[in-house]
Amino acid sequence: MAEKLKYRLIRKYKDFMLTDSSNLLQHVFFKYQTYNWWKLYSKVANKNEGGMTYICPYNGTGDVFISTGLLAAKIGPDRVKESTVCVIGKGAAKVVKLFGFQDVRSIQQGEMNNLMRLCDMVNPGYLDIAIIHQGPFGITGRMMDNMRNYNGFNFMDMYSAGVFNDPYLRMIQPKFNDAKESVAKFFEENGLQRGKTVLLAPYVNTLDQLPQWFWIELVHDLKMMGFSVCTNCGNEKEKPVVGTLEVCPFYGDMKDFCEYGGYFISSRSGLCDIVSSFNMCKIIVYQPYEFWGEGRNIDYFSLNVMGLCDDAIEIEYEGVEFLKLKDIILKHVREWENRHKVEE
Amino acid sequence: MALFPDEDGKVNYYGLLYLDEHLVRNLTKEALIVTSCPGVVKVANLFTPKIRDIVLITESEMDALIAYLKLTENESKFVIVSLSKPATRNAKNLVGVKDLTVEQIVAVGIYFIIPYRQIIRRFDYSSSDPSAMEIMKEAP
Repeated sequence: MAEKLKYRLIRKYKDFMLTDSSNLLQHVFFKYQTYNWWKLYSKVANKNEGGMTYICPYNGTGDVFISTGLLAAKIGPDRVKESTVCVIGKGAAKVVKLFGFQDVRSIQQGEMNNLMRLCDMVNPGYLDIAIIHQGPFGITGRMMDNMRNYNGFNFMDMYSAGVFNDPYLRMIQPKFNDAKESVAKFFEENGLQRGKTVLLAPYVNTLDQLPQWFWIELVHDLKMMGFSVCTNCGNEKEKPVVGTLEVCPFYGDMKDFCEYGGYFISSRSGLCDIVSSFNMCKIIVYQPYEFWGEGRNIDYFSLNVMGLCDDAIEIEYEGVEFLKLKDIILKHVREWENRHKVEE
Repeated sequence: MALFPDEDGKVNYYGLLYLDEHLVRNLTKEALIVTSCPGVVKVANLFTPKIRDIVLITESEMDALIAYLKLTENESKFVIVSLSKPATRNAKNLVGVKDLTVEQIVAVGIYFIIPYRQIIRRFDYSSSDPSAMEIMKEAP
């Protein structure tokens, strides 16, 4: 109720500001607004001579991973060290650091929206700012997102062609830590098996989640097949699936952690972009009923189509056939296990 | 309110061509067009009768208007028919990538006309004004 009232008051206030263009209140508001935005700009500006600030105004792990990966490829290693990257939240900042960026600043969503408005008002080029996202939410300038899937236009094209103006640009590989020893120790201490541990990633930010009971059923069957199972929980809200171990490996240690376990099953999320280059069984589930322009979200986000890898097993379910989905996943796990044994 | 800040005839032609469809889909009865291109003022009425008024302003006034609308955070009340304005928009990069055309980018990207169906209209129009002809030369 209080929220509704607050919203109505703000709307009324804004309408008043628009209809009357010469009142004192409006002048005070403009001064206050521009002063705040300028203070915000000082917070994120790169103070080095000729230095740039790159802004990713959307808090999605995949968006931050791909945009900064392509950025690092575009500007080269020398400028990577000198540049400032500004993102929303601390999780996104950790992703940026995988590509060697040292000056990474994280701000809140509201601050980012205001920063984007400032960039729209004053050309970002004048501020030594470059925006490395195709169109942040809540801003009218946003339109490129609407082109999703037209003529096969996918997530990678959106960044390489749309943002960086080079359809053939490909991202550099992120630098992961050498964490084999600590990972081996962690596996031993927690009773996880090398080469037979499944890392589940059921939590997603942008797309819809699969029902919790589906993951519980899947865990039950995986355990029957002799697998150890753990759940990647990125924050306090994300709880482990019943019967699994809660884990939260650093992004830098993710490669060794996943490859040591050998299996990764996930709803399509930004984490899938990060693990795409790992040598392991990657099973990605795509939600079929979300509106994603002319095509489906598997067409837009497919790791194989985007060129991030060519060995991801990508599945789209039908209706509410989650038991069928579970059987398909288990079939792929068995096939991978058999193939792996033969190769050994 | 529809802003036409571009001088590009192609963008303005498709912007006017799909404006009617945009109004129908958004249950809007009429539009106020604000432009810095004199050609738009001359030909806009050929495309749709649902125009309340057309206002011609200078380019710098247009920039100031966009800045003003951003400052007051009243962004949802207007649509900007341009591939490069406001300054954070860089849709020109998309033209030609995977055969995307200006027409598709205006209809789908700017007006959000999904599902998209191409509109083909013939116009019997001639004028000595080069800015008007710059727009109408796109017509089949």
